[in-house]
Amino acid sequence: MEELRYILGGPQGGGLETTSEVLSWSFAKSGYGILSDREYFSNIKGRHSYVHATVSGTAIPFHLSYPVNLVGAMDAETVFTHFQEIDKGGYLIYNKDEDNAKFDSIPSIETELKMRLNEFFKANGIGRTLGELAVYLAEKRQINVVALGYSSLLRELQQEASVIAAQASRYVSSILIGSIASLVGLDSSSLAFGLERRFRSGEMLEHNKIFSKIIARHIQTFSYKRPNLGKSSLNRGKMVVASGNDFVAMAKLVGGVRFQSYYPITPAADESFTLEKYEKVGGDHDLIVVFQTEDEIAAVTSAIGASLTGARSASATSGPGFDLMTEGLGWAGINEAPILVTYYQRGGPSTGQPTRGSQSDLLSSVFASHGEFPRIVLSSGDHSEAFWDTIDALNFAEMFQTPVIHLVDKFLANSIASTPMPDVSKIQVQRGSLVKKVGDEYHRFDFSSSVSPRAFIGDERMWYTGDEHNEIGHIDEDSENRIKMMTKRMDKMNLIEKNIPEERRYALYGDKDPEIVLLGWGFIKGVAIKALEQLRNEGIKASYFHIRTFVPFPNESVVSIFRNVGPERVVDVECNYEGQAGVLVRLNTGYQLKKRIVKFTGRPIYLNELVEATKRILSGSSQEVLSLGA
Amino acid sequence: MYYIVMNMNCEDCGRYIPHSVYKYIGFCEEQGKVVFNEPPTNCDTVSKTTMDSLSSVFGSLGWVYCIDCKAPIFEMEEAVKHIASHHLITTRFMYDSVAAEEVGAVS
Ligand SMILES: [Zn+2]
Repeated sequence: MEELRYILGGPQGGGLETTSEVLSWSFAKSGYGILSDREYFSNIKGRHSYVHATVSGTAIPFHLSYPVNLVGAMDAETVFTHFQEIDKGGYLIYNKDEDNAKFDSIPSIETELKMRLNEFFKANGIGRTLGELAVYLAEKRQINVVALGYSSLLRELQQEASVIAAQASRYVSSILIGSIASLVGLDSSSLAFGLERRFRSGEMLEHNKIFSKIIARHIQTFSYKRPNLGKSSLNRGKMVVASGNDFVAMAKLVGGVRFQSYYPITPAADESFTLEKYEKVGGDHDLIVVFQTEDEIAAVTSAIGASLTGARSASATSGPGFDLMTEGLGWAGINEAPILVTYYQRGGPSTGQPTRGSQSDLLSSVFASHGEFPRIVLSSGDHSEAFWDTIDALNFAEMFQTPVIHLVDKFLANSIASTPMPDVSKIQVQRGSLVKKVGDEYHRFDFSSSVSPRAFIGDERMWYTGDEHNEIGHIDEDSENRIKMMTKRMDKMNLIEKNIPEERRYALYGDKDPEIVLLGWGFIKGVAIKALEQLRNEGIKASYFHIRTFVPFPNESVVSIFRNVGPERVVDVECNYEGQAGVLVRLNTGYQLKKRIVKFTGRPIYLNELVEATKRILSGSSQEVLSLGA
Repeated sequence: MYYIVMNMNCEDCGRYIPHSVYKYIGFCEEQGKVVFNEPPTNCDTVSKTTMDSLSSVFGSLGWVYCIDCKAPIFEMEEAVKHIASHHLITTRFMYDSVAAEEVGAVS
């Protein structure tokens, strides 16, 4: 098989994180590329959550797709939720101790799913229990059912070694790790690497190694043909296996951020939690100060304050937090304070779908805050882009002395990917125009350039206010001054237009002479590029236009796409309701996107549904609303 | 005295402190170790939950927790319904030192 797709599911708090991490690291260690997305409820503990992954030995995967080859279930609810997603000839690992569980008596299954299951079970003449479903899957769907008694496995471990009481749930993770590793034939040293990275050392590590062997003995009793992923042909050098949050955090550390503020919010907080691990205040090796504030108003204003003192400053938040930051954003705008806000998009409005993904904050990031001031808005398509965009965003903020908003979607933030190690020797920290010599006549907002040389608080005399001001920073409402100051500030947009080249603003993939062009941004990138490959195999020539900066906008390239292929053949692909990038295309170029593929369920766009939707568009449909994913 | 559960195994024992997510994992106070919902064949210390003890819990704590429903219950009548559906009711949870690592911080 070219790639292995799996779903691991279980109750939140039941060890799914550990299972997913150990398997991701183990697959990566044995040379495979992996992308692993986590989908979870906002109700927190006990609710169904799952991980959806793609493993490949031929290319580093940046897409997810259905059906999957394997479902590993920690509980009965996972089987009831995901059994229809298993491909013919695929595998189901589940706990046969729960064979008597009935879907309609599992309280945490949502009513809508119960109704759908009810219809399905009736139509196929299946009883209501897990055991009967397993028999149906084996007999009617040719699924290789690996039924294990989780309690007896755990008892076996208890007899051979022991079980750490306070970490008992860990061993449920081990059952899935061990059985998948054994089924797929993961080499033992790669598995050991994954386990060691998770458990470091000590009893838990030892227990897991023993448990893997016990589980392997049980797996050997199943005579099914094993999934054959083949040896990896990837020649990748050093790899990093990390989440999007962590890639941004790493970029902030090596990109020179010295102050990060935040108020905890999903799905942004993980970035700050990672940065906190590197926080050290005092001594000769200060790296970064991470400041957890009382809210996002304080987060953005403290980042501005730190920036005025000369620290490279950033903050990270998501929709509700960004809303609170908007007034501060304007303050940074009028005072030309360089700050970076990493804006993680989740489902809105209001609290919305806190743990689900979305691309519905694009217009908010472009238009947030009253009045007029220059800004830059970037967006990342994968983990590597998220790293380098962070570096660029930090440089742009200081070069143009303006707030920069970096959009990352939850799909990217919370998915773990294997990515080639970024070459950090290529990082350049550009601090923009700084005052060289100290003097009495310092004008912070000197009119001679739209980017006035910057001095830091403490080095020169300067004044800051939220009001309109003159060159030295004093409040000034004189008309002539207002015209000069507004023009100086707004003229930065011309500077930005000149200095961020067109080719930095977009990327184009696929056929040079396409029948159809998919236009998207953010995490659409990976699935769209893979879709081109599939469409080509089916004789359809397609390309993907990937927008990387929204301010400044890639006007010329978008216009040339519309001119070359015609407006009828450009399809807007986005994870939002309105087609927000399409709105900006129209605003910037005058071209209206007439066709679109949108998804706003909070789940990512999957390969199979994108390919099918694109074909329906080619056959005349003008809008496709996607819905796949539990 | 009224026995609520007839077929006894660990889950039905008053000395079984269940894991908050996996009800088949629990801590046996009697043996001082983790047990995996073993059948009671080799255990003579099973202590049955009674209607009396349930009413005293509501009289003192005022709540019980249903592991199956993943929800607290504040009315005795409601608790009785859950027990009748063979749900596992508890007021104590097995200590889980790693749960926080497995639950993403949602805010
Ligand atoms: Zn219940």
